[in-house]
Amino acid sequence: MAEERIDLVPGTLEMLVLKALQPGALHGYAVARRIRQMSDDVLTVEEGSLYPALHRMARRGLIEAEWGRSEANRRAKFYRLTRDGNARLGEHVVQWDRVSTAVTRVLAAEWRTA
Amino acid sequence: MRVLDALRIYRRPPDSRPIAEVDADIREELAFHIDARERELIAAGTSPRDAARLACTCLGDVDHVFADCREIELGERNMLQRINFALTLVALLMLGVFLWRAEDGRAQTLNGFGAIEAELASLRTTVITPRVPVQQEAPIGGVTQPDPLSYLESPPPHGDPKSAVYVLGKVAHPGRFRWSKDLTLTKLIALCGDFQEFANRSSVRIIRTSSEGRVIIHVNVDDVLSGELPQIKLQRGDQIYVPESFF
Repeated sequence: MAEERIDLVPGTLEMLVLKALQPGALHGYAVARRIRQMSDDVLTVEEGSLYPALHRMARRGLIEAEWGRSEANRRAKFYRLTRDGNARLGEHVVQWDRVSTAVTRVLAAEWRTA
Repeated sequence: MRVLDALRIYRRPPDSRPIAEVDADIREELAFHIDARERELIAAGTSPRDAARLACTCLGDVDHVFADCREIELGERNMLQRINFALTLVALLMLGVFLWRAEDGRAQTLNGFGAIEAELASLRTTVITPRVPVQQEAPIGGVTQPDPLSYLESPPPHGDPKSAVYVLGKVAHPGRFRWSKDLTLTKLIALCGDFQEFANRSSVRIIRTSSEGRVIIHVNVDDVLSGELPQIKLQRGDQIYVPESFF
């Protein structure tokens, strides 16, 4: 199963993190797990790059962090989507839709031979 | 839009917490991740020993991840601190220079004008005898040259102080010079044997007295020489003061 997993398309980590946080606050580990689950175990987040991304997004005001208690009653840092983050997610979705549609068109094109 | 997007990094003010607290937060967050990973591996059937080993590698180089997060959290603050420090240093330096120049200018004004008046008084009462060209020893080759300085000082202004101009300060040969209609400031400086070292060429003062009072004109001689300012014709009785400057 692990062989079927693929790394994220470059530039999509922010979009996927924002989407994972849309239902509610999650700690970093749960964000990675949710992305994996939402993609039916196809996409894996490189965990080493997840935390710098989370901190960067928090600095930019797309998400906000707050310490809380995990399901194992351990102190954990939870991230929550902000209004700006929600708007940014909308922009990402529109852009991704355009890109994926364009790529699909390119791949579906048939070459006519003389 | 990209510019605005880039500026979003400044939306949240720099973290003002102590650095140790920021570091501890990042370490605790990463430790939580490793711990959660270990729990999940154990729950999936991995032995605790293997789970601990695998969990430690899930983040890759933890120190690197920590350093990245730390740079994001504190980088902006460090940069602002460096900018603040540099600006403070520059401001203090500028203040120091300003105060020093102001004090220097005040001293020059207080001492300078007193000295100017005293020198002028002595110049007005001194009868300058024209220099007789000094015959220099004939150099090898046999050609005799007159002393170039003999042309620098004009003859006495025929007893009328108003037909003279006066040069004081940091020039090679300060003194009283005969005024003529085509006498300009730069010509007069040349007659004085040029500026001395540390002469403030950018703030040469022409002190002009008329029936309406005394006017002080500051002239940047370099601007005149470069053509940015027109030649300045001198008037009878003008007093030229070349101050000193170490800049």
